[in-house]
Amino acid sequence: MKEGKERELLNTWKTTMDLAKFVLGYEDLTSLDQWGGREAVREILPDEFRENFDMIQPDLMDTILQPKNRRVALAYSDSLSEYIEFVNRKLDERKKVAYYYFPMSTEIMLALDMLPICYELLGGISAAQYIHGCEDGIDRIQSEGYPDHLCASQKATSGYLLMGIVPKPDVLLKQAWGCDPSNRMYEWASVTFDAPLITFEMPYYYNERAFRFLVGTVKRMIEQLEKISGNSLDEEKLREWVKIGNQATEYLLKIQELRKEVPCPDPAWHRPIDTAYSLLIGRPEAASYFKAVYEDAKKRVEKGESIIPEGKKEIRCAWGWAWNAYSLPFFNWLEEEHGATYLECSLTYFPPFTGLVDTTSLDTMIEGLAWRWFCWPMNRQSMSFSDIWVNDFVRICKEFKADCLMLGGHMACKHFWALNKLLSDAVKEEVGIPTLRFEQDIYDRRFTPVSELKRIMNTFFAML
Amino acid sequence: MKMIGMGCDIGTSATKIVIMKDGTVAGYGVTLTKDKPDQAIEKFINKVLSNTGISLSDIKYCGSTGWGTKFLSLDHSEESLIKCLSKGAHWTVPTARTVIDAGGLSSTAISVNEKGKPMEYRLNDKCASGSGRFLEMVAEALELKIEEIGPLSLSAKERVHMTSQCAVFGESEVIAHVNAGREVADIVAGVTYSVGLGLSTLVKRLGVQRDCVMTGGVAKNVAVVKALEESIGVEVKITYFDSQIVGAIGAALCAQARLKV
Amino acid sequence: MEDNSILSSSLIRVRPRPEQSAKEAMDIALSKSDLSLEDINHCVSTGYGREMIPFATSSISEISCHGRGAHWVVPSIRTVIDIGGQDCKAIRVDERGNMLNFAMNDKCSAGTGRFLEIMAKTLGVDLDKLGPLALSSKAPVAITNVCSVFIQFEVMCMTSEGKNRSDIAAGIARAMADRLNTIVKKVSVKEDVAVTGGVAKNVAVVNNLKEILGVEILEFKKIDPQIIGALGAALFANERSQRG
Repeated sequence: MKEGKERELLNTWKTTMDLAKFVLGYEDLTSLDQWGGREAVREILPDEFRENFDMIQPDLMDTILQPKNRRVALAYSDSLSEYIEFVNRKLDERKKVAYYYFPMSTEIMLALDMLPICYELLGGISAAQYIHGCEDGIDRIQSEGYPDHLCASQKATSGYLLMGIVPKPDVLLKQAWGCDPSNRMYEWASVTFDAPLITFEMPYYYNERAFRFLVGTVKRMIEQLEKISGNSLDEEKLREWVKIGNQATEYLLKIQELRKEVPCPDPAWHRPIDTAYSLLIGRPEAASYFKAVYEDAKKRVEKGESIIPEGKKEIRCAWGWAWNAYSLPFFNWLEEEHGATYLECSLTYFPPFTGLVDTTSLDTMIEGLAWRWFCWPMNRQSMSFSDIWVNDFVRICKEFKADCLMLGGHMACKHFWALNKLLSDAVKEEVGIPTLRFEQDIYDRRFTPVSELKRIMNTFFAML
Repeated sequence: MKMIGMGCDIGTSATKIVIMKDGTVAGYGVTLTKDKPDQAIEKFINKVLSNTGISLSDIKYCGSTGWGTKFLSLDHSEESLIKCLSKGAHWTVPTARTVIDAGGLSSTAISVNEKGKPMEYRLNDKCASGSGRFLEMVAEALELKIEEIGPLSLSAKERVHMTSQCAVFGESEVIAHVNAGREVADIVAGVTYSVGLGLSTLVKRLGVQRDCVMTGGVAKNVAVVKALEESIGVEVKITYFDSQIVGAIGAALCAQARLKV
Repeated sequence: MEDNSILSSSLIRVRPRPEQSAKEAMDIALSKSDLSLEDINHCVSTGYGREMIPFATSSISEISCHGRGAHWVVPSIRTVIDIGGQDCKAIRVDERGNMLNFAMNDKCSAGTGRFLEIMAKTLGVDLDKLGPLALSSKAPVAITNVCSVFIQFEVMCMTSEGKNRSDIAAGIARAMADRLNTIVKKVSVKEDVAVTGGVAKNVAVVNNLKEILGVEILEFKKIDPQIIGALGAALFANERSQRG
């Protein structure tokens, strides 16, 4: 592992992944208590892991050691390690660093031999793994005067950039939606770090003409990226990456179908990680991750195994906004405590017609990628007015046989809060299921602590 | 069959006991929740029973809800407050589709379907604006009885405008107005208006559907109810039984439903 | 003040009307220094009632006054946390005591002196005993609510359950420091840091704040932290009278 302050965050993650793999390597270990608890385990660990171990959320360790969660936990650790190694290699080779907004995939950047880093990924993984989450990044940018009511998914990384613990951007890529907070933050990053900002418009309407418009903007984006990278987009190279991206997408779509099974065979703790790897589609790590998730769930369906404890009635939940990144164990707790399974959410749901990218020619590939981004969760819902979001969820509740709608809205997401009542009304009318509405901050646990989340859930499930 | 059962709603301010017999309310009692509730509750239950002429051994089922349920020593089933309020309101007013419970500390707005099942709810249990406690604080500061606040508000000539939503700052504001020589009726009119508005914000977020029923101790304050009605533009019905016992009725109904299973 | 030194000061509980309070406090200060109102060249008023003082020559916001006042006492101060009766503020000043940035909470009573007054009453102790009571605790309770009224209820339950009152007082101090932290975080804290206002006198709150912020907090040993705002106002008055 190479040194350098800008690699600090990723290298910390790497140690965490090595530690996770080390612990997961003990196949009979199902909880830290088995070995005498956290303190005892700490003593047994090799020296280089101890400091890192202290930082990790204790209940996260116990969650990934559970037999039903192990397989995917290992896949996550392997994949993230590989991605970090890739980043370090490209930094060594001094490749251009392209920071991009999450609802897109990496094939074009990879074909241009750039280093793609998702702005929002950096805060998210830290929030998920560590006791202190990504709070230091958030606090840093806020102490510069950046408003606290804006989106933590950008706040954390902006703080990290100021702290110098992540690589600096050479270019920033942003879909210009109606999400002002994120648009402004990318502008800030562009000015502060003197990196060009390429915005490509997500059209307002959701139809053929709008899609053609998007394809046009993607082509203009490619032109600008070619100038910055100093490479031209080669058809063969792109094809290689698109094929890998197709693999990941194929598994992802198949997993979604499996979640329709009763009981749902896919554990909830890794949903935020699913989003993390979907934004890495194009990379082989994403393909291997989704393959593992799919095979894990498939096996469960074949064996008729359940992810909720014996004797509990399954309560199938559609998440109308989405997860939070700061407590993956909380989603596991929902299964264990309440038999509540997690179906789909607006950060994981790709409609079935997303399909795969046609690799015949450069044109079909660019169009295919644009189409996938057109269908991408969050991109999709940001377009048009509330009809897409509402219709998607009425459909999800019906097709996935949801028992209730969870609206854990991110406090910074103005779009969601504007339409949330339309959503719960539509679901009540057309599907007849109850809704729970509450606020959370997607990355910052201090806004709605886990104890509070549990209290909210307990009240709701007692009512059902 | 004469099924006799009991519902208990042990809140942060008041304890409510209801005795159900032959599908109707045979007797009930409302008292202040004491500092050491356990013994006080048992004593109170005995009092309510003796007033009703029913003995403890006749009670075939008992449901309990509210903050203080853990203090109930009698054999009982614990019921979710949201469910109890929904069921209780629906039982008293079958056309109820929106239930607004304004209690001692917290307020809840619930959307129920035609079967009395709660579909969605909004809680305010973080902030005391709109709570019975706020009204109590104002009553104390003005040396009034809590029952006087409603009627006195209605007689106001020029309602004072309250600038603070916070119950604590509101109390200071009330004292400032007294010192500035404002009429007490005008001041309490401002307070009840503010409380009504706070409740209406809560219920508007949920979405109001007729019929709208208000429960809890604060429902007894005519001025608050009026302010709420004006703000949401829908008639607010008060249950013909004591509005405070709706939760306890619901608790009894929930416990009874378990017997049939 | 005269020529950059304090002649006298006074501190009283407010009367219902600001003019009454100001007159009473002014009379006390004047008599202590053996002066009369006519001897005052320039009087600057600050705080909530600043526009209603008949004998004030001009007025200035209390944010500037707290910043300037604290800086005058200890010139190395760069951050002032003022915790008053009804609001709390975090103020960043430069090397001359001029305000750079501030954040304020005047909407919610938790995090203000009012909160501590309510808690002291609920625990049945005098306000100035609340801090020392907290210090003797070995195991502070965890307060789970955020609203003063709800916390009051929580505290009442704890006392009836027989929990140790010093543990409760310690929990209260911690809860207060947590509330303050949300405001303070909005300005980038730079040392040296000082706390002004009445709540500065609650040692337990200040200790908790130190811990949460991870910085040293300077104490005003010779001057009452509650008069820092007035001190700042006097400094501005000095400047303004010299300008003529």
